[in-house]
Amino acid sequence: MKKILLLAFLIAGIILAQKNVEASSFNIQITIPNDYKIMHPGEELMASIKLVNLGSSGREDVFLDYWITGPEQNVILQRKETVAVETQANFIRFFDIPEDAGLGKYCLHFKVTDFNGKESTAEHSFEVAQTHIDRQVSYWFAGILAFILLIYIISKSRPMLKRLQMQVRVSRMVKKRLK
Amino acid sequence: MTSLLIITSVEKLQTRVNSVVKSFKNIPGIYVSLNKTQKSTENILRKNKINTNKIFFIDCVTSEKTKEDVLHIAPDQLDLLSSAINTFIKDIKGKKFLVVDALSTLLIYNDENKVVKFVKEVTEYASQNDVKVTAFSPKTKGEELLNKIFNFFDEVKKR
Repeated sequence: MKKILLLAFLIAGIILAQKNVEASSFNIQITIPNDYKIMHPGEELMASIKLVNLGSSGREDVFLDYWITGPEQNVILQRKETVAVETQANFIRFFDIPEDAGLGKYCLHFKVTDFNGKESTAEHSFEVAQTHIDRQVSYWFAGILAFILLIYIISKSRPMLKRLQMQVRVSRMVKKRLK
Repeated sequence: MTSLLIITSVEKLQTRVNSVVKSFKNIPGIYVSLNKTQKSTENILRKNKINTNKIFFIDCVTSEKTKEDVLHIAPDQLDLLSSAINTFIKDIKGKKFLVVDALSTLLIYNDENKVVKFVKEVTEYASQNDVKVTAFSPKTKGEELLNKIFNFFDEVKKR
């Protein structure tokens, strides 16, 4: 009797395990356009998602899970939705990058769970870099520095220009008088 | 002899200048006027029947341009003054002279060591280019400077 029970548990375990590792019939493609591969805190990330149902020919409701992980693998954003897919579905989703997001490599994760609980996942990385404002400030700073440098060069070269001007004048005077 | 420093009394200074410039006759030259305007210097020379047609004046007294063929250089701009003298020396072909009237005036506007450096530069360049340099200085002014610049001149006359 014990042996039968043990066998039954074993079979049930195998079935459950198989169910857990079994992937859904969905093929997922996530694309982040080049313009969105480097983001700045506070901006909106755009991702294009393509779902292809390889298993079923009919309309099927699926659960979508999105989450974004930061450089330290912390989840900074999470979203869920349900969509109906027949054979293929394309959609674009936008995700707000928090203002306080640190700089570094981020990852957009995507998971499809079908009605039977089968899952497929995909992910795509992107980068969060210095903000535009910071960059603008840097440009301004560089511009001001360049301007100061220009003024310095002009002021330093003034005596040289004056000397050259004087030398030309002297040469003219000598030529004129001693021709 | 290419360079001469004449130390004389203030009263006799102009007479000495006149006689030196007169001795150059028709040779073209450069006259650095540090204590009189070009106009006044030229008038004095003309009164003494000295032909000024071939004399190029550097006026260090007047700050504004009065004549097209006169250079106006502030006495504190020693680099520019030295450069102007060198350019004249380079551009005037053949024999030429340089008169500096009067060296000690430069001490009013410049540090003594800068004046020494200026004198050294000018006398060196002049000797390399066969220029007869005559610098004047009143007896009473700039004794220390005169002691420092004696060696840059081939001859020093105290009259």
